[in-house]
Amino acid sequence: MAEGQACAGGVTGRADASPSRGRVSAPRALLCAASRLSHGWVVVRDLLGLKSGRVDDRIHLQAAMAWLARAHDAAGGRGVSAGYYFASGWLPPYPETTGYIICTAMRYAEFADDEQWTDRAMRMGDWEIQVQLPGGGVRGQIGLNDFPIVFNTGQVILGWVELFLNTSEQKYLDAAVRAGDWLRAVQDVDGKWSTSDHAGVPHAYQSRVAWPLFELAQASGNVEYRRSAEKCIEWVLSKVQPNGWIEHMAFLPGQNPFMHTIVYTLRGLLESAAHLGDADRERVRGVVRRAAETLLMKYELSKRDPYGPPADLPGQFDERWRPAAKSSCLTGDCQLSVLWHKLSAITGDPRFANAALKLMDQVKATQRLRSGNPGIRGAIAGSRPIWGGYERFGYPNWAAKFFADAIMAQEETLAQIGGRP
Amino acid sequence: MRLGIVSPADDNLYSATLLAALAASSDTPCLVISTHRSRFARAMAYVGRHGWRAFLRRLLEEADLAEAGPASARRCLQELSDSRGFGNWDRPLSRSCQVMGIEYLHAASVNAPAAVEAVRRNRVDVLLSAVAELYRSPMIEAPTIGILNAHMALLPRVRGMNALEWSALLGQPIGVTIHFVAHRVDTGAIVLRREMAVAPGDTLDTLRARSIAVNVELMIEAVSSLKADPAGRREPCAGEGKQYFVMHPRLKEIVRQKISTGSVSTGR
Repeated sequence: MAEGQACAGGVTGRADASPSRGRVSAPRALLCAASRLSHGWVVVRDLLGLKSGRVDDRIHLQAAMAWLARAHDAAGGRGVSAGYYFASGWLPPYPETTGYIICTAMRYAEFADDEQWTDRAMRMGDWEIQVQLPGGGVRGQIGLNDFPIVFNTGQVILGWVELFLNTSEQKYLDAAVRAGDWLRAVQDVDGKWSTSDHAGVPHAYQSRVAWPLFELAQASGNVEYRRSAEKCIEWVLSKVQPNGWIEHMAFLPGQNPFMHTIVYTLRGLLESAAHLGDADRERVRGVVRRAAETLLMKYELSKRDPYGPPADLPGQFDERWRPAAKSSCLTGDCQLSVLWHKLSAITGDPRFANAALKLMDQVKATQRLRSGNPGIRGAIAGSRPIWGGYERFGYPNWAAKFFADAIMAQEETLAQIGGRP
Repeated sequence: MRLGIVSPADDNLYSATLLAALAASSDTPCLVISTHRSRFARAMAYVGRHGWRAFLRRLLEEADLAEAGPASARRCLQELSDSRGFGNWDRPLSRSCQVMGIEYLHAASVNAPAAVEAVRRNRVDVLLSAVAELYRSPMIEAPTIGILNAHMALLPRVRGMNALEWSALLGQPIGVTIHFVAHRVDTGAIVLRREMAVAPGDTLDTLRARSIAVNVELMIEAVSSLKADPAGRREPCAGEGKQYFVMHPRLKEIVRQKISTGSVSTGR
């Protein structure tokens, strides 16, 4: 069996709405890992707590983007494979994450002056139009399923709007409008989406659906999308607790949310805030800043040696902001770095950028740059250790996407702090 | 007034100069505590706290712990000592204590029960801190007046670690604050503050080195003022300042550039 291909049979699109995308049982994945030297080496490294040496950030970024290109090619060069998993190899394309990878691709094309990525982004956008459901929604889960999901639809709108703004091609805006109309049609009166979202329950991270609706309102000139987005943000704000915690941030009721969905929620609020009037903008930013500062203090104070680096950030927290996992959610760490960089720029408080840089150092140390397995080389794992609770034994495409976003955001922030143009 | 010194190492130049300066002004302390441990002992303590896996990881990681260039610090302290006539300013603490008849204690940390007991037994009024460790209640409450710390920034604005670097990055004046240690980091009452000018040609290392010499000068001044009036005027630390943490090397690089291009607050 060639490296980078499935070792336990391919996985086709999943019709269920399980939160455990690509998740396999630990014994099965361990068995598979034992049969693959590269997988086994990852497990050994994580068992011993070994980390990669530091190299220039551009090399880390190039490696992640090269991995994303391989994930794109592995799914036929249209949608992006959901990721590489020990038990399954490369997965089929994932409509949701392909949608927001378009934004990363467009940004990287400019950042690295690499036209290849504009072409890839357009192919992704065209594929998304091709597989868009007749009702306007975006297909749920990995592969091509027949049910639409609210959150996924929002993420693809981000990609289509980005393409429309950069290429002026009407087809992208038309697709986004169809998707936006579907979102408005299934929205509850109070702003949340209680149906057609993951597990059939509303989520605070639907703030990340409000954000693309604001963007769509701006691009299309239709204020109805803006009204929908404002209602959603009001609903999320109604879930903010006195300690800054936000209810419904987890995939399922009763679960402790992963860092991934905590930051989804906060980023959605932060990006939406930019579209609000002065008073509301400051109110929403205040909510985000408070939660982000809580996480910053948890992170920076998690050490005994005052000169030493912070400990790895736990991958889950409970409603009292107490750590609720022994593993780290690397995807969430990358997302948090992006959020902290954005807050550093907005608030002028460089402590956010400082924490983001340190957090990314820890994520970079997990990236294998010389693995012989193209599914692992340059990828970012779901969890550290690899058997942690989030995307166990897998390298999801969205981890590489947020990793690349974080490094590009960091260069922007450092230029701002250093006073460079 | 009975004084004590807490040092991070037996050969710590700042502590040694402080001891020499106190002796020169007839304020010889009655107790010196060194929290220095051998590399092996520190490694074993780390393994005990974090486990072998974390220890191996730590060994493999590059830690950017760069502090003031030792050569610059030595030069600044030597200049201060020469100008003020401090003798034996660079002698190991244990040797100085032996010569001066001062009790010298090796302790695992500033909060070790033996250290707290030594402070109480010697009826120390003011403990002069030269360490970056966090003090816990028993030690904070052990001296009759309190623990004095020299902070490398102007409080209450910039609290926490790498305070000089953060001041430079934020465009704040650079300086030193002598303050009492409280339970929250750098929030105790302020005794003295001095702003430092940034001269052309200064670097981060030279600023840190000069700052260490200013620490010694201000500590001596603070002791004198407390001797004259133990309950004297102390500025409450308003506490509105933010707590800063160890600065990432990329930000330190920006600080170095700002200092080299003269785009930091030049002070007086």
